[in-house]
Amino acid sequence: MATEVAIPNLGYTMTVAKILKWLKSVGDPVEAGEILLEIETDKVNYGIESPASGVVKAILAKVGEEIPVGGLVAIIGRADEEIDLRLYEKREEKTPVSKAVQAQGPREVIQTVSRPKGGRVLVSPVARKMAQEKGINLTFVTGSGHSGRIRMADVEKYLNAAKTAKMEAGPPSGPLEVAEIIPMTTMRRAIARRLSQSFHDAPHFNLCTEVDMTEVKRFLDLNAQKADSQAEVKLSVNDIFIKAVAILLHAHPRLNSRLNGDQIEILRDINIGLAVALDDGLIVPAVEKADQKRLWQIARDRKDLVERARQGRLSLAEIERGTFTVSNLGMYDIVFFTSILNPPQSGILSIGQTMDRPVVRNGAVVIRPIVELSLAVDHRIVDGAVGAKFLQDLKNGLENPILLI
Amino acid sequence: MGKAAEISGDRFRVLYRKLMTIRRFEEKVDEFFRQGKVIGAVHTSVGQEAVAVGVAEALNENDLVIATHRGHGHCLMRGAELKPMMAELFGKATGLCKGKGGSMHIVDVKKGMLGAMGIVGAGMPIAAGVGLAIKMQKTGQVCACFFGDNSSNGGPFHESLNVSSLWKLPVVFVCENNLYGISVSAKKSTSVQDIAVRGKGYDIPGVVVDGMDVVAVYEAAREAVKRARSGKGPSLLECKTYRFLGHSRGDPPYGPYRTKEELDSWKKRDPRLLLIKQGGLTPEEVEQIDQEVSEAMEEAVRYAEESPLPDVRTALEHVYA
Amino acid sequence: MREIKYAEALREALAEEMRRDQRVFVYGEDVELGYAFTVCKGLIDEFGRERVFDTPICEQTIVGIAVGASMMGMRPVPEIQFCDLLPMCMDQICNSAAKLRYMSGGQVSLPLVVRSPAGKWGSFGAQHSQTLDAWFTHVPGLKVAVPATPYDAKGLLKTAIRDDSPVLFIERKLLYQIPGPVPEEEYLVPFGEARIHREGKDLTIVAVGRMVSEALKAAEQLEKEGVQATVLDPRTLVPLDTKAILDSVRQTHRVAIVEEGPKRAGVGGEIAALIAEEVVDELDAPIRRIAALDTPIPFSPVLENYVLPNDRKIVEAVRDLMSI
Repeated sequence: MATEVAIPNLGYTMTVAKILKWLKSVGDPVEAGEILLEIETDKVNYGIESPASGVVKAILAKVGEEIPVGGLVAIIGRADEEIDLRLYEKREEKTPVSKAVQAQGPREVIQTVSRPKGGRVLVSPVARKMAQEKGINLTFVTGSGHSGRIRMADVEKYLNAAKTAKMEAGPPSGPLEVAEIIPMTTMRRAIARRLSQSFHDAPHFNLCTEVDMTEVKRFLDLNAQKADSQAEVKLSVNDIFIKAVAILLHAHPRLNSRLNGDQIEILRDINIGLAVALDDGLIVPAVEKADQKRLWQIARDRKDLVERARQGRLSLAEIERGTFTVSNLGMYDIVFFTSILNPPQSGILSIGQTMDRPVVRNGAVVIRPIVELSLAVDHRIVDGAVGAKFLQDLKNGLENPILLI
Repeated sequence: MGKAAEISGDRFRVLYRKLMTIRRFEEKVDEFFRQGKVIGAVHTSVGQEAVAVGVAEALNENDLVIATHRGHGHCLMRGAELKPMMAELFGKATGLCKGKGGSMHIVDVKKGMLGAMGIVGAGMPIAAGVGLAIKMQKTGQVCACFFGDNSSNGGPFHESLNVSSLWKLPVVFVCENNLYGISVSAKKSTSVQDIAVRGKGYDIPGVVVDGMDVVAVYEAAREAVKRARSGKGPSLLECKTYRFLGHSRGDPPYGPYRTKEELDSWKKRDPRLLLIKQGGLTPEEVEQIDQEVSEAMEEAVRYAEESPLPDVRTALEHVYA
Repeated sequence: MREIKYAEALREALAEEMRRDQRVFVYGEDVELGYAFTVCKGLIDEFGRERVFDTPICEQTIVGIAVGASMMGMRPVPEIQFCDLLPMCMDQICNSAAKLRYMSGGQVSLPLVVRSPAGKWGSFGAQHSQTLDAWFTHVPGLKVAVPATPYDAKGLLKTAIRDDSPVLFIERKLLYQIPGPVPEEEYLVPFGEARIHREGKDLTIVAVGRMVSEALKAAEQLEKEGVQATVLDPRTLVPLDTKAILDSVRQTHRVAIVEEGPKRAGVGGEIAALIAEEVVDELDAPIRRIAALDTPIPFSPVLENYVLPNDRKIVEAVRDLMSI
């Protein structure tokens, strides 16, 4: 009896997966539980295990192809079994397309289908005509048809979104020449969508402060020596921030919450996400229950998460569990910046580069390592004073770590 | 024999003029084809004129005729005017069919010539339909349907004779057996020596006729027409004849499939000469008629040459009624 | 409004036209008893054997007779028992009926109507189940009518008989016994005028013959899935109501074409090409054709149903079409 291998549903926003790599070929033997292929979703990469032991009888999806959740990618069977591949020729009853149609209506079907490899933007004739008439640059429109094809409804949606967000109806498609078209990855699209939504939905309120990092630096230097000698994880400034923020969120629970309709849900756990830059994207894995962990545990977790983030080996849970985010662009010489909230979180801390600067202490000018912080909060949940108090506590805590105990 | 007495002296002159008109026409057409003035495919009936002329003599003016691709003679025998006929072959706007039919599809409805049919055997079922209409309309008309020897081997011949006999349709089926269907001799294609015997298979009279003899053809046709008009049904006339030129332009009179001896022996029985003899036409009369026919022919040719080509937009006309 | 069957509607049309015009007559194989599909049944009682009569089996001559008789001013309406037999009469249909008027420079007209049933009956096999509409749409000089309802059958046949051009009137076997509303009063359905059975903003389904009812069934199912379909029936393939089709595409931007004949070089291809030529910039998706597979029609019901299109296949194709 042949066993079908389908794309599992790995997250509530997941609708498709891109095939990254096949670890088995047709004819190879495989054990149940062995990884057959790797896929990419809008958040993480996954290894799909074989549901049965046997021989790979058919591979139904190619590397780079996007398959919807539930779509078949392989057939496992006995070595001597005959598989009628015609049964799998077209995706017909196996895809969730019909379900999507029933649930949402035909125009809102699959959101995230990639543009084809050649980079050519597929557009239906009437959509193209519409875009021309309205002066819309099609590279800014997300296509919802097969292979990212832009359809009339997509152009209409773009226009409506532009109107409601009071944006201009897209940049003019004037005589500007396009030098290069980069197809959006699933992650890129997810980032684009989510951050755009966040920016749009949550009124961001930004607060800034300066922190004297003298004490923190002293602590880190000490620890660095110790760590080298004991082959332990070297603490980074981010670990300090993670711990400090985690402790303080106990006292400022509003910044560890999310909005659910009319209700503000204060979250029980404090999982601090750390923004990690990737080649073409951004991912925010979270250190779980950071408030309850020792610094060295946080450091170890942080190191592991960052490493796996860069390798694309994070689990969805590790990302989705974040309740507050910390972001550090100091390594790029950024002195100060503001961030966009990581939905559905209500606060995000942006950390600039710690630099020696002249400051005034007791009437004299001295040199101190200073870092500029900005805190963005969702003003629907967190008012200015609430955010300010948190930031003040953070500054004080970092300048006098004993206050954090 | 007494047969010749049926046709008066005057009548013979008319018949001779008709025959010569057909002959000269065909010869001119052949000549023009060689010159490239007449285009497409042309099938001449030089040598076979007696059949057309003889049958026409037996028909009334309001009777109908359906012919084959070799239909110039059948059109002319009904009195079609020379000028528009020539113009049609030249593809001119003044042609009988406005340049849209050409040689193989010549039609002159006003003269009761319903059409030369380009498809072998197509005319017979149509003739049955004409006969049926005549019967329904009770007009007393008759339809003469001409076809070749090899046509009598195709399905439509058999279907048409059966149905016409069954319903006693006023049709005269005239088979011009010129012994060849393009290059295939009747001996090679036809299971009987005399096609006339096939009439028996459909319970209708089948008569073998000397197709080179206008008078003989007239006699046989007159009987058949009378039978048809009286409601007794169709007849099958097999006129043994011979075409002096090839099947169509490009086909030599003899050589590939006919011998010169055969051609020469038939030429001895040239219908023109027979008619002159039977009618007792004097050489002066002959020369005069020949002259008049030539002049009429020249006039027709001039007319055709001077006529304009059709406006291309007429190509879109007459697709539907 | 009263409801009568498709076959009855055709019979009424024939009777009414024969009463109206003495030149109209009906003939073919088994028409006196009205065998095969009952359309001609009873006509002989009113009009006698002079105007309603059987012929021997000679399809070519049946149509040839129509050619000759119509040239003489009669208005023959022969019946060819199965459209699968029309290939036998192709010479008279295509070379005589379609062309004699043209070749004679307008000297003759051929006001004949060849009636013939097409399509599935149910295990009649490959030689008695074909739908050959496309063959005749490809011959200039012929008009082609394909009625889908009793109302259209009666109205179109009357128009066909009154038309001075040769008409191929291709009926559907399985529609004969299906009733539908038909007014008592006289009416005609003009050629070249499509009928919209149902309006919907999401796509246009162009359907012919028996496929109209399949398309309507599909449209109901699609409505439950949130897709509103327009079902457009051209009624005559020649002349074709191109304007109605293009206007509909301009509104819905998506189109599927359904026919019972095989897909390759079928009627759908012609309509699809017309749409692509004229209104390609109105299309939001490729044009979809739903037709029979390119095989002869098999005997066993499971195979026959696999080959032929039906409402379920229309629904699947439309779902796919809507997602592209």
